[in-house]
Amino acid sequence: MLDRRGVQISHQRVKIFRFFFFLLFAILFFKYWILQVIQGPEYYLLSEMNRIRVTKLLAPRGTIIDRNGIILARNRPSYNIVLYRSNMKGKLESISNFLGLSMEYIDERIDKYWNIPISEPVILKEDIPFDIVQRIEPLLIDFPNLAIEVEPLRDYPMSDTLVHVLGYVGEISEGEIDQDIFPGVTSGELVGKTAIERMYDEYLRGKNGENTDVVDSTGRKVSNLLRKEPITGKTVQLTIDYDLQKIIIDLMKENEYVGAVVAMEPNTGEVLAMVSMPTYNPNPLVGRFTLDKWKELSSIDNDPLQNRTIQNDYEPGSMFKVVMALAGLNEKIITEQTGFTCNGTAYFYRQPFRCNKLSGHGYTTLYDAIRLSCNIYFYNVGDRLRIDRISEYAKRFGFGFKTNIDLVDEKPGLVPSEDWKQKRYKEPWYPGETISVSIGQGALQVTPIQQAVFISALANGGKVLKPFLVKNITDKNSDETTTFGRQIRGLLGISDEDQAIVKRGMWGVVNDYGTGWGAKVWSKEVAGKTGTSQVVKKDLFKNEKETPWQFRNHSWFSCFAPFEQPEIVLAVLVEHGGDGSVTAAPLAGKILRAYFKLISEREKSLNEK
Amino acid sequence: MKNRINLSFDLSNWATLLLTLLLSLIGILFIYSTTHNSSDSHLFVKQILWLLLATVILLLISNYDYNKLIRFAPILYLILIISLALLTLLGSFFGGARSWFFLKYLAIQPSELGKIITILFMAKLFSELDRPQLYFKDIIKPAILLAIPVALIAIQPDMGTALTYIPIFLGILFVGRLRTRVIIVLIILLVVFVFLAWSFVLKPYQKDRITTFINPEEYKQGSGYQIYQSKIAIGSGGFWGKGYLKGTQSQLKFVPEQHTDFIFSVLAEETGLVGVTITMGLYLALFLSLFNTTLLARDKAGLFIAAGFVSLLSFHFLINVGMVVGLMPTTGIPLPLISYGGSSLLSTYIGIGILINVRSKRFVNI
Repeated sequence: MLDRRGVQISHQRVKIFRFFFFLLFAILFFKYWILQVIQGPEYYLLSEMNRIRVTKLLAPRGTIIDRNGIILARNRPSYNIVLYRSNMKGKLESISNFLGLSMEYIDERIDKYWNIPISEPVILKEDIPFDIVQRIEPLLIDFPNLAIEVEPLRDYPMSDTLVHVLGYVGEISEGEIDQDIFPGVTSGELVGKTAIERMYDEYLRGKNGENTDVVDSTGRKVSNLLRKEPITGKTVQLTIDYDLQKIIIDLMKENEYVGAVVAMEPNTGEVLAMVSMPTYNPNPLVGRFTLDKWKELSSIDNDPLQNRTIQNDYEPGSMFKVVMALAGLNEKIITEQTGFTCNGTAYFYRQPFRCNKLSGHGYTTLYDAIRLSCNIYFYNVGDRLRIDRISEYAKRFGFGFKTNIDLVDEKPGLVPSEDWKQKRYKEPWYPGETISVSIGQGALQVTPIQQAVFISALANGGKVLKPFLVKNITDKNSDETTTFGRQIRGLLGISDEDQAIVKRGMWGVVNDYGTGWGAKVWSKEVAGKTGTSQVVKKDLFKNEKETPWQFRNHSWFSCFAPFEQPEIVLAVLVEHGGDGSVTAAPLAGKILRAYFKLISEREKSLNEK
Repeated sequence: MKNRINLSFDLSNWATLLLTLLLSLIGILFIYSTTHNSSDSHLFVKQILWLLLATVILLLISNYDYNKLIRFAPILYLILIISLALLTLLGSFFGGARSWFFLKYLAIQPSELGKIITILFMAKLFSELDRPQLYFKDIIKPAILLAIPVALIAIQPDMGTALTYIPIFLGILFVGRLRTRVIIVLIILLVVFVFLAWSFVLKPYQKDRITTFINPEEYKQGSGYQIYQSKIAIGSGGFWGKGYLKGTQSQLKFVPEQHTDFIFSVLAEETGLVGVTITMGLYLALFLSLFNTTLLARDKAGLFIAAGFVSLLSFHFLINVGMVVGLMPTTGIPLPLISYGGSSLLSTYIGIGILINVRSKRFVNI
């Protein structure tokens, strides 16, 4: 039946078939060996990356409170729509439709965060209202790439009243990442942009936690592998007395003043209030999508972004006469009894120099020279001191250098000297210029904070202090507190007697029908000095009323109170406020009256308890 | 001769049966692993029931003379054609293919059982040709008869299953002594056919599968995703595996179609190269015994049945095990004995049953 030959061929064919089968079998097995043994570790990593989703748990920022515990900066929950980018191909179109965001916008967002790990989500829409969250959340089941995440967002309950002190937070910029200003902070995170938020960012920021989830192939969470809770940032207590700050802000707003006020505790250097007007509300700037709001702000007149207490310098005007008096007494050029005759005009180096009182003060001693702010008197003192000695004293008193207050971008001001003139203008110093400097004009520039530091030194018996804004930093987790205290930068180096003579003059300014009578407080004795900072050369306009606002002089007043045991120092500057006696001194008076009322009310309520 | 029940099982046949059962049990283990945390968690029970049924049928078939069985082949073939035709007319949709008849709880896929019927029918046709060698004209009639069910399955559309009919035919032709020059001509024709199919017949998703196979990295997110994830699963299993029920790629559903086409990826992930070696070793032993059966067949019919079946089974095995590591294109071809699927299991068991019978008849002369 079976032909032998045919069977042989068939069997041969079966063997050929079997041979090829085993060959393919061997190749396949070899492939498995390569995959599992040679490339095994590599694939293991890929499988882990597949299943593990690490999300950052953002640490709430530390709270900022005032010296009495009033909350100045806190956190509120903010709801963000985020996009997980794994397996998102082909899904963006429907996501775009669902959220009503354009594809270009979504692409832009994704591009912006190209450098964060793929497992971390990209924020598509920030700080969405809660009612929208409630509406969207149930629909998210169809969009496994989308999620709603809660992020603690900064909130400044005091709105625009303290922004120059607190600063605000914003998304870390590419420049900041490149320069590694905030080590460990990655794209998309919020950091302190200026002022306290910036200076104390490392304390306020806290430590981010990490959540590791196991997810399935659709991106849905299956279980939790590891959760490292975030650690809240430290609480920063400021030296600011918010009630006083509010008093000052309200007074400035009421009068629509542009300017700056610094209130300091003269014995420690604690800054009690720091006001710069105009101001702005930082809340809309918090977060990531703030470019438009930024542009809006920077186009406002009078630059609200500037902190005028430290970032702008002005001629001190007659306030500088206090420096002149101290220097003159110390150099024995004058004594308390020394007098000069004021005829309204005096000639130095064949040039006329005028007094503020055109009819002249007559024979004037130091007390009246300070009280009535006589220019002629101090022209004579300055002419005898010469510029380099004036410069030396001014610098010793804290002018011409940054005070190193814990804020950013402070200006050093300017104290001219012969050297400075030579270096700056390649010209010799003219003695006539010294006459201008003697009454706080010329090249002289001071910041309100410098003026406050100087007056504090007088008030505290001669110590030039470093002004500071942070009282202490508390770690709420461990209850460890770091306290900051008085730091002495230098001494006035003026005898107590001489200081007393000058302070007596300043007392007269306010209490003895002097130029600063507007600052008088009936219950306490105030001592201060007015100043007027020239904006344009004199005589361009006939009188104050006809001068357009922007050409009016800046009005200065700085003082301490109570006279015997000073508790507070004020440096008040009102831009284009005219004479110091007209605007700044009365404003200081109002501030002080309100402040002392506040203190007595606090004491009363304390006693009642 | 009537009284030969089970006694015809020699050691080798027992070994074949044992290997078959062992592989089926491995299959049930991994059907459980891939479905236990899903809505399909009852599937392994269904597979056990199928296995019991299949085992009984195997034992019955293995004791039924294949020469008698082959006589029914034309009738079975007709029934197959009719049921396939019915399916295309009023079949219910399932997974995009109309290949399922729902018969209460158990579904039978006619195209699966059709493979066995085709093997028997082709074996009958060729064994009736009393020639030492096959010429081109000899294969025309069988080719047409084969083309009918293949076409019916292909338009369901289930191109993967339709393709598996081709190795049956080729296997029988090859072992049935088709002349070498005809083989060469056929290879040329095949190339032309592939070209034409690519140009005019294949649907975009079918083309996709092939391009994916050629360049899987480029399609990581699209159709290459399945292969990519499967490779990650297999590779990440390493030498010892991640442990039974502990494969992350499988349990978290990164591996697609895991209880059917990609079940071997799961096995490889959870048991590592050790499990792969054991499982492939069992297959190797099974194939050795089946090839042996082919060589021991006593007549042409037995030879062709065995050749057709071994060809079918090896095609399934190589394509599937190769597909999950990206060495073969993605087709809907399950891994015989291990993948979930009652009719596939049943047809494989029937085939093995017939081959046991072929082997048990080797000393019997008519």
